[in-house]
Amino acid sequence: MSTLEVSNLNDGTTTVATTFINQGVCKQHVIYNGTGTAAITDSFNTSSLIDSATGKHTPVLTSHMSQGVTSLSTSYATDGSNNYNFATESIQSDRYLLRAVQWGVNFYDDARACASRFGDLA
Amino acid sequence: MTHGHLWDRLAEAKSRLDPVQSKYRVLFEDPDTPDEPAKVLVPDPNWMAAALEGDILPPIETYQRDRGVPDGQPKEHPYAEPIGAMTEEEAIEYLVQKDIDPSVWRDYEGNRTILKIVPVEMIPSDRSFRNAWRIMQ
Repeated sequence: MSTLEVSNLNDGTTTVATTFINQGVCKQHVIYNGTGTAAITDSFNTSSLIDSATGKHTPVLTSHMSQGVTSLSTSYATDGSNNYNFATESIQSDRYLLRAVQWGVNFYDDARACASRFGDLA
Repeated sequence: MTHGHLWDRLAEAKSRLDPVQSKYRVLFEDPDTPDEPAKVLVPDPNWMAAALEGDILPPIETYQRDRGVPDGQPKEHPYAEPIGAMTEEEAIEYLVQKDIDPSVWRDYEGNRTILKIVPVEMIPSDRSFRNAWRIMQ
């Protein structure tokens, strides 16, 4: 693997600093199916998924974040008639615990749960 | 330093390695929360591909030393020299030590079996009673 060391990139009209690109890049993501035997569908910078209970899953990072409090985005599958959402129960530099909630009351296992994390790496 | 940051190696590895779905799962209970159901650790397919390939992941000892490093302080594991290829069984043992608390795999002195590495087929696919799962003694 060779390394190109540059501070800026230019496409002919616009110049962008490489630090700008690094800050905007997603540092970790995971897509998993929490139904049946839980399985990871796609991922990056994820070492495992811990299935703790109904609707309770913890992705663990391979290369940790510098801090626990970093930006985290989530999405979920919906059947169009129910109100689903994710709650982040805890977030640490190496992992975060997601709870999938239906109508704000019932925990459920999501068939296509997605999460991505942004911020600075350790 | 020629090996760069761990995150860069993971990005490069994902671009060329096919993911490997492990045939194992790690079933464990947390001795600090005995009323909670058993947990199941699912190895990540891209991580497993990197472990089997070698020269990507850092030594497990670096993660263990980093456990005591506060947030915001420099960590050792992203910059450590990568280790060689592992077998799938070695990779699972590595993952146990990396992703499960030492109170489960190292410090527990009770009589219950609280950790088992099992073939994926042994994990029930029916989750009707998921919150009552325990490790059979």
